[in-house]
Amino acid sequence: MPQAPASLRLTVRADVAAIAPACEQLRAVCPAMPPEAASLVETALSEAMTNVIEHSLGGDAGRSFEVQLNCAAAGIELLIEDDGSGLSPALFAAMPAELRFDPDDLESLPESGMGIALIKSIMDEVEYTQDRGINRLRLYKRY
Amino acid sequence: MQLVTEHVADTLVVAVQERRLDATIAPAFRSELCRLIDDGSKRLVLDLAEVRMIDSSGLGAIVSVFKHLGGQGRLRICNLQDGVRAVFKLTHMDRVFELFDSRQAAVGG
Repeated sequence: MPQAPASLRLTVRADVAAIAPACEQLRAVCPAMPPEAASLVETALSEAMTNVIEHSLGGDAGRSFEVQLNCAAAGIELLIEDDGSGLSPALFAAMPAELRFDPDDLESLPESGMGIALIKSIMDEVEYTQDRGINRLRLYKRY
Repeated sequence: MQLVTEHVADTLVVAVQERRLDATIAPAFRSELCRLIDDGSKRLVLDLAEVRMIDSSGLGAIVSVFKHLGGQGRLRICNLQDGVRAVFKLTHMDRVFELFDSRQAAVGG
């Protein structure tokens, strides 16, 4: 049965402990999302929120940012907005969607820096912009 | 962070009792697994049956544990939910780790 469109806007504290509760609300807004898609979208949203908290807002739990979820029958749209230091859109665009390493070379295996590649490989649409001091990441996934 | 461990023959099975293996869990997960290795467990199976979602921090922690083994022993992973398995595939970590559909299969061989 098609799912009625639903939206949710959250103000999230810049603390990694706030990520899991925000993701629970995502699942509540989109209960009909297939389980694999729900897990992957949760991964992408977690990556995006972790980047905002740890990098753009410098882990300052006194600050916050906005997350908007738009759930429809065909897919889900996520908007993450913050007023922190952000990242150059050109640099973001240049980051590869595919990780490259030699699986047989232990030392070459990445332990960090996989977040944006994971977002790009999970989501069907990824747009990152900066406008008047606001960093805005728009993600969309069909399911 | 909650882990349940069980010795099966010469292998230590570690079941992660968390729905999310993410940035909040990863540091404690990494240090606890490294401690188990330092205490002598070189053959490990990670049971992720309860893990509904993994992010790059969780994945990085598993890689870090694998590196801590230093090429000795082995680290196998079993019972991945579909979304978690998809993350291993998207990051090509399915080429690094042996993934099994059951704990029994992961412990054997």
